[in-house]
Amino acid sequence: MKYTFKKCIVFIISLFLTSFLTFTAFEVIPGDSALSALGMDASKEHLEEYRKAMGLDKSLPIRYINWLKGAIKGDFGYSSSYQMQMKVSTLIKNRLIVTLWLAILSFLIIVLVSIPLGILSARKKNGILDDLITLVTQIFMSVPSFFLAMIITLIFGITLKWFRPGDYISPEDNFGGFLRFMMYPAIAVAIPKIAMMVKFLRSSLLREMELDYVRTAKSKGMTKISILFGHILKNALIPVITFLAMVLADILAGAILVEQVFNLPGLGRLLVTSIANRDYAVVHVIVLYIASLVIIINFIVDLIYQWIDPRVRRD
Amino acid sequence: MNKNEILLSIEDLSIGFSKGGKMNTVLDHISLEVKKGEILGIVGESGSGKTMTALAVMGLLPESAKILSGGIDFLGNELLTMGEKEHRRLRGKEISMVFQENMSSFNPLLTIGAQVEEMLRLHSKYTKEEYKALTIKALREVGLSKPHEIYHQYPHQLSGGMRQRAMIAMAMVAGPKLVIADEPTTALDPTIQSKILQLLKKMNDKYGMSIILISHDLRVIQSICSRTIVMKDGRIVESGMTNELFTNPCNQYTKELVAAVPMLNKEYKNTYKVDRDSHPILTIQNLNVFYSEKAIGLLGKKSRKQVIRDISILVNEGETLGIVGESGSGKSTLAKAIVGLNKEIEGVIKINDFTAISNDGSVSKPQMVFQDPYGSLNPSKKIGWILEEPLKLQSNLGKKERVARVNEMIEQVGMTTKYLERYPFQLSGGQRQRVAIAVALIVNPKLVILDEPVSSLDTTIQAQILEMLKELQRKYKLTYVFISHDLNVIYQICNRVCVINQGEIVEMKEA
Repeated sequence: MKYTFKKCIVFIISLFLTSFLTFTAFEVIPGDSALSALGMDASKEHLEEYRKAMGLDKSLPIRYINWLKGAIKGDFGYSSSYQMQMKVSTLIKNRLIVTLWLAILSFLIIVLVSIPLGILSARKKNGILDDLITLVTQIFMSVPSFFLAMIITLIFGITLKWFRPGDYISPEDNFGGFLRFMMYPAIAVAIPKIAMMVKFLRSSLLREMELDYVRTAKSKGMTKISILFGHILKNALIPVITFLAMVLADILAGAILVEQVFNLPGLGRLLVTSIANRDYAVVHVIVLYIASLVIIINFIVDLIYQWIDPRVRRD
Repeated sequence: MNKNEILLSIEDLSIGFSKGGKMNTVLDHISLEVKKGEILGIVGESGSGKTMTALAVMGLLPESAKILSGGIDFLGNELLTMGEKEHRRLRGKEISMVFQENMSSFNPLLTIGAQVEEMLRLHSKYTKEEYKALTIKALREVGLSKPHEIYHQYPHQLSGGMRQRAMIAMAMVAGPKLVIADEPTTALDPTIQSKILQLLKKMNDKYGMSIILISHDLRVIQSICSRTIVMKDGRIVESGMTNELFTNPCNQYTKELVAAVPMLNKEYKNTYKVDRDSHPILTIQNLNVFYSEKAIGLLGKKSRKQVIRDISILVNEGETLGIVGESGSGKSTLAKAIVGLNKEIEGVIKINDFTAISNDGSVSKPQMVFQDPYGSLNPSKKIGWILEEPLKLQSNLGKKERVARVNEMIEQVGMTTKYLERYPFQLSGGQRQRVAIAVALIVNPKLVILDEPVSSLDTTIQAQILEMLKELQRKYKLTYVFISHDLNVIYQICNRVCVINQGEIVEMKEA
């Protein structure tokens, strides 16, 4: 418990550190936010006034604390792309919902498809089924997800007409329709990851099967299937969890190209347009979001490890 | 119980592996019988087929193994032809096995209790409470003093001896008629070894199950087996009552085995005389060695663990000092400190080498030979390269001189120059250890630290390596610090013995 408590403190400190570093980084980047907000022909007095009003004349630590005060309440300022009329938090919130749903759906597909396939492949090692799974995963691993997105659009959108390509349905209008539409990009995101997961899980399972404790279980008179589910699987999942966490962080950060192909208003596209428009307030929050995501996921993975593996527990 | 009733009989069993179209026979027409209630010993080197015999009885042979002839009869059941389902019912319930690797043979993620109890659940029907009670009873029976606590503990939380006891509990909990113990004590310290053997004997006396005890170590076999079978290269070379077999061996190989056991034969003692007025070559004064433990998280405090406490040793030129102690006593830490591999030390380590400055490229640094010759030789390099490397680093000899030196050295350790073109994995364990010794000696050191150099080798090979070390010592006037957990090995080679326990010297005496 003491260990977990320490981990929590370290976790909070790293979040603060991340926020401070990203804040400083965006302060260091050349460019004048007053100038970009008011336009090139703003007068000197106007600029001074704006800086004063926005607290830009204060020193870096004070500005950070001011920013932090707002950030904790969910206020990240205004977006310059929308002439300071749109709150960054509102902008991000709408996009985040899309990205989160995409991530949740594709993560579920990844887990639900790859774990059974990996187990099947390892159980039928070197059989026809295993060879087939290996071949298919090999192919899908080398296909980029945006290309899959195009193929899916072509087959299910244009030929089969199961959905209307590019016709994004927002969750407020029709949640069921939204989910149905999101399935297709989720599949495009999931397939290459599934291929990697199957390969990874298969080799992890096969490695475990060679170990001494499996021989012990056999000598007890257990059936192959109960050894697999009773002993091997949990051990084999330990390295897989780290891999899954990396996958999750990756898809939560937004799949820019897939969003582009399906015309989804997700975080990835927002990041790209904000960078192009030098909308630093938005870019800052997205960078902070991605960095925090990695920290949070690592923290959760740590907790899961402790729960699964008694050797990691330290009290 | 009728003591002469046959429980298991193996008849004319041959097993092979096909490798590149050729059949590689690992068991060659083996026939043996196990009577009810007896303890049968099977002794032989690694690769002699002992373990393969055990796996055949358990039905755990690798899939690539082919049965070429013969059969195994267990109480009227033919094990080799019976279906997997019936065989599974026998496993654990009628025949169970105790393995050598007491750590890796347990699932690291499950408690000891769960794993022992699983055996019961597979073969009997009780309530949940009864399962637990029976498991705890079994744990207590194998001499685990706090069975309730151990029930909830994980394998890594127990010591090696405790794990081996738990494994015996697991093998016996379902009341089998035959227990196969494959090198059950090899991974353990000598003091614990004998306790585990006594435990096996006790269980045999109490429950009358037969035991097949497999070991490479004659002393283990001798201590509890009534009858013994000697195997070599997949064949049974001799069998008979244990005492008779070892006092009057008929077969040449059995004779060699018996001769290699140090306690049975005093001739092997080191007779190399140390010059009374020789100089000290290694002086250790008030040595303390520490290990820093990794801090937990960002805020954790670094802790320092003391491994060696206030040790003072004087080693004279030309002598062999033995350092003996159980695992964890600090032996290896001491060795690493002497050769400078451990930096966190307090105290004095002085190495006086009077021939340090010489023209033949000799160095004053002590050299070290490790226990695991496989792990300490670079697997991707040929032996010739491995031998030459220290010369490149520590001498200014030319290419020709280096090659001449390598050729000379490989012959000094009893091998030929044709081995220089091979890779470490192409050599046997004994040959690898010879190479490791050659690597240490090639730079002409005066002081050599040997850390368990023969522990991973078979008894007959052990004797050969020790003999070679003595010869090299005479020839090159070497000083050895010889570390081992095995007193018998120590007595064979050392002039003086220093016993350490928990980082302190508890005894120092002439061998």
